[in-house]
Amino acid sequence: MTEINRDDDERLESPLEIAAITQPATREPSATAKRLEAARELARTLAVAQNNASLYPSTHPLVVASMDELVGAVSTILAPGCEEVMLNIYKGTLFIENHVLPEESITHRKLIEDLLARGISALTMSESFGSQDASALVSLLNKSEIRDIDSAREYLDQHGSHGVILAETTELDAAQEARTREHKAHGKESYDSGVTLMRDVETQVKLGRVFEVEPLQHLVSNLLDTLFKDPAAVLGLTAIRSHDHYTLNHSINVCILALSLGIALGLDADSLKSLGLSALLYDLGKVRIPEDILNKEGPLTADEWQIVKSHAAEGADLLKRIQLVDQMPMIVAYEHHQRHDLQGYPELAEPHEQHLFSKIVALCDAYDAMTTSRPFRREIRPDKALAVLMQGRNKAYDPSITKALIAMLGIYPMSAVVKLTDGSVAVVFRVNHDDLLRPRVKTIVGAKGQWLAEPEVVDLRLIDPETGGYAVSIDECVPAAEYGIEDVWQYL
Amino acid sequence: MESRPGKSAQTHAEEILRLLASAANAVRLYPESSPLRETAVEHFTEASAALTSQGPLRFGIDRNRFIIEDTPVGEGSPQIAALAEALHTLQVGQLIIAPGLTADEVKAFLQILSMEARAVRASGGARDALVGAGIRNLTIVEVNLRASAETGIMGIDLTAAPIDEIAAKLPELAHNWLTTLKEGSGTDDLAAAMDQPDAVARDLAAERISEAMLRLDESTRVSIVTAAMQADPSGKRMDGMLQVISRMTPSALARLLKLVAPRFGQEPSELAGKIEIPPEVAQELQVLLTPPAQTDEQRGVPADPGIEEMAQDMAEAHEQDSERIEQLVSAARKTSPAGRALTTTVDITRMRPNDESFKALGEAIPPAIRASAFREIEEAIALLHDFASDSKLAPAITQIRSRLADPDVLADVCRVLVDSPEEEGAIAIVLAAGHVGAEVLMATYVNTTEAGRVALQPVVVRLSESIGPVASRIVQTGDPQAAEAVIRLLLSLQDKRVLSTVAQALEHSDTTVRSLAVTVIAELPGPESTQLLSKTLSHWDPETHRLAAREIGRLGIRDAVPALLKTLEGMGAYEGNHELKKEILKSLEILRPAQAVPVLNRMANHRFVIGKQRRELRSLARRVLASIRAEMNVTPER
Repeated sequence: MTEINRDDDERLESPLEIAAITQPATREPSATAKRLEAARELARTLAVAQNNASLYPSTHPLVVASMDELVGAVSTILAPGCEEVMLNIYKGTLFIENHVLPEESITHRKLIEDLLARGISALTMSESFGSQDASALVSLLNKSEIRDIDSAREYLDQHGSHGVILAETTELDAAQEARTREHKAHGKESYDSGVTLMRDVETQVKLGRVFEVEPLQHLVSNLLDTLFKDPAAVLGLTAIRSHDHYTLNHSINVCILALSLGIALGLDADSLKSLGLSALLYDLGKVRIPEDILNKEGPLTADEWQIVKSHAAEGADLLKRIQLVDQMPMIVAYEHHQRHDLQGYPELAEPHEQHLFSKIVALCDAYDAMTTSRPFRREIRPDKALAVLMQGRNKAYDPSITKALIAMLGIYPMSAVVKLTDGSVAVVFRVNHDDLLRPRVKTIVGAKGQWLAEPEVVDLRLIDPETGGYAVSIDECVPAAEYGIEDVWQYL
Repeated sequence: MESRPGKSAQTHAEEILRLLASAANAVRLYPESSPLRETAVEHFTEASAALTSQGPLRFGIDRNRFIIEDTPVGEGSPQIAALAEALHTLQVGQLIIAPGLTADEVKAFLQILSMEARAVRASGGARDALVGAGIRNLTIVEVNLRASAETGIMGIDLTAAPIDEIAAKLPELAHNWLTTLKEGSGTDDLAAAMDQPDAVARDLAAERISEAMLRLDESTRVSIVTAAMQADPSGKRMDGMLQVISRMTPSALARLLKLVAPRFGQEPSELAGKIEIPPEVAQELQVLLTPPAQTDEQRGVPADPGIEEMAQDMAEAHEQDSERIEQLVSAARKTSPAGRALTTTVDITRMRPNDESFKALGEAIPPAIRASAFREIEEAIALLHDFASDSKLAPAITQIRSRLADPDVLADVCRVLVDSPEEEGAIAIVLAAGHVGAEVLMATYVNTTEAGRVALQPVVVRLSESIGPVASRIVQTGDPQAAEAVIRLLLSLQDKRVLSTVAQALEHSDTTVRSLAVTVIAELPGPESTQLLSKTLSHWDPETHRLAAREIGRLGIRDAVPALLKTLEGMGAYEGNHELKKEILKSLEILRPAQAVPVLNRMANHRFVIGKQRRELRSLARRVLASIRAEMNVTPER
């Protein structure tokens, strides 16, 4: 579905990760477990090889065997189609292919320190990694006279090693940040044009005119393109809040969430386009509902509730003659409130299971509606919103698709504001799919309530080398507004 | 908290600087009456209006270059570099362009820029010159404007000093307010420090102090605001600080007010009422300060989200989830939504039975047919039936019916029936299409393989009422291959009612067809077929009537013996229909009927027979007679 771009491997939102999350959520743990095991083995063999090479001559059987083991470990972790593996050191913690290795960060301290001493924060081993690369890398780590990354690179070159690439974190960060900024800007452009488009659609429909579908299809394609390049940049757009255009933003948000979930479920390109268009238009029927009822603060009367419920059929009615690629938008508009247990509305003459797209849109609609603040309703914390969805499994929502959504979003989803155990307040900006409870966050308010000049990035999987435990954890998810945080999107 | 400019923002900034530089050159080089000068100013004014629509644009000036949020702009452009240098010479550290800048203001600014730098400085500096010229929407921050002359907050440039430096001064200001308050009248140094001559600079200063407030510990921030809310005996509060906090984002301000309010024993919203807040912020603030109408619990939201349980649940690999997702995805990929779309359209049409709905229904049917969604099509046909009596809808319904009766559509349906003859929806479509349906069904039957015909046969049987006329036409005038196929089909029905149709095949122009018809008539049960076969003995085509005679014998149709005899007798001894006589005699030999004896006797006893054929007939008659007598055990007559 998407090409693997190794430049992005370090990031959680990399295409490699998309490939991981495109597997249904329930399948992911076993695949992750295998990869994690391979990553651990690689760290161990590298440390052992370094140790043996420091104790014995290069021809000693133990050294030779440990080099072979290292080569074997690299080849094991390189799954078919995967051309290289990256080992990262971030704030003293060892990562291999985005898998944090807490124990190894402590037990292989010498390896980490020897790399950092030379300014090496990342090393990439390609599929051509062989015994020559292994011995060059290991002997480099044992050469005290090599003190910087340039000398290290030169040493590898002189020893005929072409299967190892050394990098400094700053190099990676700068390139990554530039890419992220670009994707974010592109995503925002699509988002803004989407809001404008949806406003036009709404206006046309209110005037009883037929709206153009092509621009909407173009919008979906644009969002999809950016999603494949940088899912986080697009998913982050759902954190954009607008007090004036809730409905318009909501439909774009649902579209983004639905597309992301669709990718995670493994839908093909045509299906994704159909899903995206359906997710943009599913609530169109609301234009036929009086605004005073839609925006009513208090509880609705039975009659008003009937009117609100009619929006599903009204939406389908509006879409029934629109010349779309397929009729999925009409179907989703009609079915999105029918619920998994078919106890919803409109009532069907012959009950049939909701279409997959209707299930997806229903979930994304509920999640975004709950987590968005509206004039008459406060937003619900993302973790609690997910808990509501989990409670609704088998009733309102399909249980398997619900789990897939949570696997994609994380238990603390991107844009969630969290209070950390050290008292600081942070925004989740990347989900770690190998540990849904430990995302990457940007601390914005210090423990004493002081706003930081620049947000500080913290990976909550990081290990405190002294205690061997996690450096910091999430204490609880908190409402952004209550902590004075206005625009979460800027931190993503 | 400002975000970095994106690539496009930089490009725009560069463009506006280029236009400003061009305008500066035009003002410097051309006389006031020159249209070139007007045009250049106009271009810049328009561009600045577009670019500042979201807020002021601020450029830093570093000798010969402009900087926008730490990023140099327009490097490599000598024109822009010259503009930066000109501003630098005037000791301008920042250039701020606000929304609403007019062409007159631009001209006045460029006039100042074209003046001798020393003269400008000597007359009080560029900023004073701008204020003096009445320029409100373009301002500059001069380098080292205040520094050194004053102490405390007054000694720093609030529009340019580092935020942390400003933050460090704020507690002292609040403390000073409280101290002087006790002495009778509060001293608001912050208000004095912000008292800039132009609005743009004042706004900028207030925003930066507001940002600085957030850099402080929350407890310090709360203390400062608590102090600022204290009124002096004249009822005056620390307006400078209140002006600053009114610039905070609504969320930050709401939090601050919630923390400060208890110190005054007031509600946060009450406290907010004492601060001058822009209306748009006030509205949002009010929402944030008002307790929610419903608690989480009332909204069905759990107090504890159960994070650990959720994590545990997510960590467990459930094969069934995986399988279910695969099934759903596979179904979405492989199954056309056309059937579901039709069902939805049917539901909508029932809900809103109007012309538009029926048109949509008509459009939804063909894709459903292509997707073989026949159950759904049945629903649609039932709907058409339910509304058939509605005169207003009649044209729309007729149109759908005609669409359903489209031969191409029906051909698709019939092709499906070859593979799935039990598809009730498909049968319903063919049935609903009347004679066209029957035509297409028969055409499909004729043109399909033998296996296909076998599969279609039960369908045809069910639709025999409709296909009768079509079958008649084919057996009479259709091409021989089609006619044969239909005749065989009729035979397979083993229903005497098809006899009249088969009989029509006797008039087909092709001999093979007629022959087949005879065979089929002979094989169909009942006296009617015997009668027809008997009648066929007098068919105009010799081969056909010969075959009829042969079939009577082959199948042992005794009831047809009288007809055989009548035909045999009806033909005179010298009539030339030799072959028919021979076939009748052969059949009589098989049937051996006693009542044939007299006729045979007469033939056998002809004395004067001339010609080989007649002799052969006499011989045959004698043989048949002998065989009948043998069976009857009767001695031959002499």
